[in-house]
Amino acid sequence: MSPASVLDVVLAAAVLAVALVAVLLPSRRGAVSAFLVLGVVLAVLWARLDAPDIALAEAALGSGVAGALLMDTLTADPARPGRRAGRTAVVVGLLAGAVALAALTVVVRAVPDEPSLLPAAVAEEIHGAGADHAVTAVLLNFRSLDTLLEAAVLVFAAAGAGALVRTPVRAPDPVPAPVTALARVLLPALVLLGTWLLLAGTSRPGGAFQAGAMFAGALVVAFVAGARFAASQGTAARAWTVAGVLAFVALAAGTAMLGQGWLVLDPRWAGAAVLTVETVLAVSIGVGLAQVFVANSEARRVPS
Amino acid sequence: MTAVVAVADVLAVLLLAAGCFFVVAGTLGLLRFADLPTRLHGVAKADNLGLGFITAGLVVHALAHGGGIAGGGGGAGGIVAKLVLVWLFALLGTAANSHLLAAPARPEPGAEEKPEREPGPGPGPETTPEPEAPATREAP
Repeated sequence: MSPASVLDVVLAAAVLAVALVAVLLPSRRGAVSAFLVLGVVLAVLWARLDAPDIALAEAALGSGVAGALLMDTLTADPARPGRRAGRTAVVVGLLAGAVALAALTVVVRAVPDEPSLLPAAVAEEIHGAGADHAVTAVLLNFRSLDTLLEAAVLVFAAAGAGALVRTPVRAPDPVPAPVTALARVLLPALVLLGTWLLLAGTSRPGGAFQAGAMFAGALVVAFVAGARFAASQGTAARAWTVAGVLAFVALAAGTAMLGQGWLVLDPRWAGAAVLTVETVLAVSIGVGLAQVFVANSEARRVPS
Repeated sequence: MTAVVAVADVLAVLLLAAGCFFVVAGTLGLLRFADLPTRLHGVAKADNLGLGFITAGLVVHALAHGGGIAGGGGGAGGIVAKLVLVWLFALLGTAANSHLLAAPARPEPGAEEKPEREPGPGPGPETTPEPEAPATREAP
């Protein structure tokens, strides 16, 4: 076995082991830590599979944003004990996992060995797609309906989380000095990185979701550091949360009425349309994800 | 030319190995030390040094091979700049995190002696941030 395949086997085994630890550990701290480690190992695995877009998204969303949510919830109530799963739950869980693993193995084995025709089809069509990077072209043009619905899912999640907040919220606790200092450095860096990921997404790995996760990170950092603008559950935040879906729907309606059909982009202005929708979508995803975090945190701040 | 690359490869491997050693040492400190301040001290210092060695190793590799491992545009210069930035952000993060984690356990300025290093009824749940089970299981 070559060293590279040994590395792959170790990585795959690590994913399964860390996932099992995350599910089976009775301690909440341990389970959350294992879940965060799982996100990192998964990101490395995606990178090994030559899928840098998914690796970036996994690291930014699965580890970054979800990690912030979990750690925030954990540290808010550290004394609360974890719940040890009952024997039935463990047996059912292991059985379900085994069935899922077997089904996945069957599906993966059923994939024919010869290369798929899709990459060639994408390469043929990409000139008029509005993005040079294949993943971005698929997400924002060829299969943009999927992306529209994904953005809609986030709107519902943010609205659901926002519904948990009762309107009078107690004033936030004083912010420790290191948090303010760190936020001053991190905020511009995160905004810069998000913008770069957004613009780079047209020609290389990156795009609206990764950029959106960076913007969400920036907003969460600002919120934790006590910035007023990030704490608002007001009209602006809600408007930005739905803006991505609205921009997408507007594009779809425009192409349906004036162009060749729903979300069929004319190669002449596809580039501008893709970048515009992506920009609105990135900010929208950022605000939506941050709304989930802010709502989760503010829902606990009941006025005493 | 190839001799230079070979020397650079050896240097990169040595630096990466040194980095791994310090990261393992830091993790060992986190698991084995007695109380919160010493644990944080061990993991923060050793990990920062270890990450520094790993960054240096990757910088040497990028310079010798023209940024081959990460690909993309920018060449070796861009890769080196990004690697150093990663290290600097990690340093900042560790410093801030350790400060925040240690703050609740810090004795008041007027307090007399050092607090006893009791793991049980210490100043709250912060003193034992990790579940004890893995540490004790790995102990011989």
